[in-house]
Amino acid sequence: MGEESERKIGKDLVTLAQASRHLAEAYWAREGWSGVPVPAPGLDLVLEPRYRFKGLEDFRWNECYDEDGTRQVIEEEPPPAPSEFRIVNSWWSDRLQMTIRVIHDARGHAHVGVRFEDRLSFTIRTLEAAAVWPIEAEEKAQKKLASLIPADLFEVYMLTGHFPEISKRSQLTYLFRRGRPTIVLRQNDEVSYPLCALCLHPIGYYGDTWAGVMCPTDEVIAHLLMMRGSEEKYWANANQHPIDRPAAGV
Amino acid sequence: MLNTGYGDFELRFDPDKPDEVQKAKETITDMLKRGYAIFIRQGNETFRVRKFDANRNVYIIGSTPAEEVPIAETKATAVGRSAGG
Repeated sequence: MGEESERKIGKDLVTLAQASRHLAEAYWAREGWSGVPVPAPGLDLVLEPRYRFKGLEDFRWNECYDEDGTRQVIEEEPPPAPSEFRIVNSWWSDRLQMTIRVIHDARGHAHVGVRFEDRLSFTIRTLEAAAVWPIEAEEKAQKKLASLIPADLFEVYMLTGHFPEISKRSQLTYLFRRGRPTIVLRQNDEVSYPLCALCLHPIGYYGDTWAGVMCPTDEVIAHLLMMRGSEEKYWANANQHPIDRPAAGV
Repeated sequence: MLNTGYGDFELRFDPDKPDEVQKAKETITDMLKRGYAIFIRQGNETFRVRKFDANRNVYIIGSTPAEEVPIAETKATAVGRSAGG
């Protein structure tokens, strides 16, 4: 009790965003150029396979402190019991707007199952992940983005959260969006249709959200630079979500 | 360098200070080794750095001598390896 009462909010007890900033500063001197992703309670952290702190994926918070400095235990859901069923195939159905799964039971008999991807759940989980982003990091990223795109487009970005740019190489239109995958469109005098949504997160992201471990505008900068400087690698590295799937964020 | 907790960190160096140049060279070499994508701007164009020549302190962005850019003459942005999404 005595030890707990000595803990100072803002010094010994920090928010996730403050922890993120402290870790970034601490690891910069140790060649942690990208900082250290902070796990968010209740969300799966997915990291690039060769990332040096890959083990953070297994980290789970087991306690936290409320605004008054009172300790709270974080209960974790027990892992699911082993199942006799095994998913052997799955695909997205445009018509039904759900993922169809073929499942085999222990005897090898096939069953059909479905999985719903819910846009609202994606949105709510993304809000939960936002707790790890320091607002200063986002402000800094916005200043950097302002130096990379014309002033009128930056104003559009600040007002709407997205801006377009046409690739000089492919003539495709990219709609870069804060906190959502980039939409790619084929637009000319005759046609205008979306191709897909490109989802790419440097270092890592939180599963079943649109949130990366970097603040949203830093991710926009990463998408923009990859499109401009290495469009083919951008397509190769990004996940290409069909535009009507919840993961596309449309 | 885009960074999780900081927005981006800036690494500046004075080309007239050998220790700072050495630190910058080591940082660039290490980042490329770890798979970072480094982008530089030349005029209105953005290029991805293919290699770094630490002996001549130049970024290599293509296959001809004209496609070499001295590190002291450009600002670069580094992005960590992608985890997909």
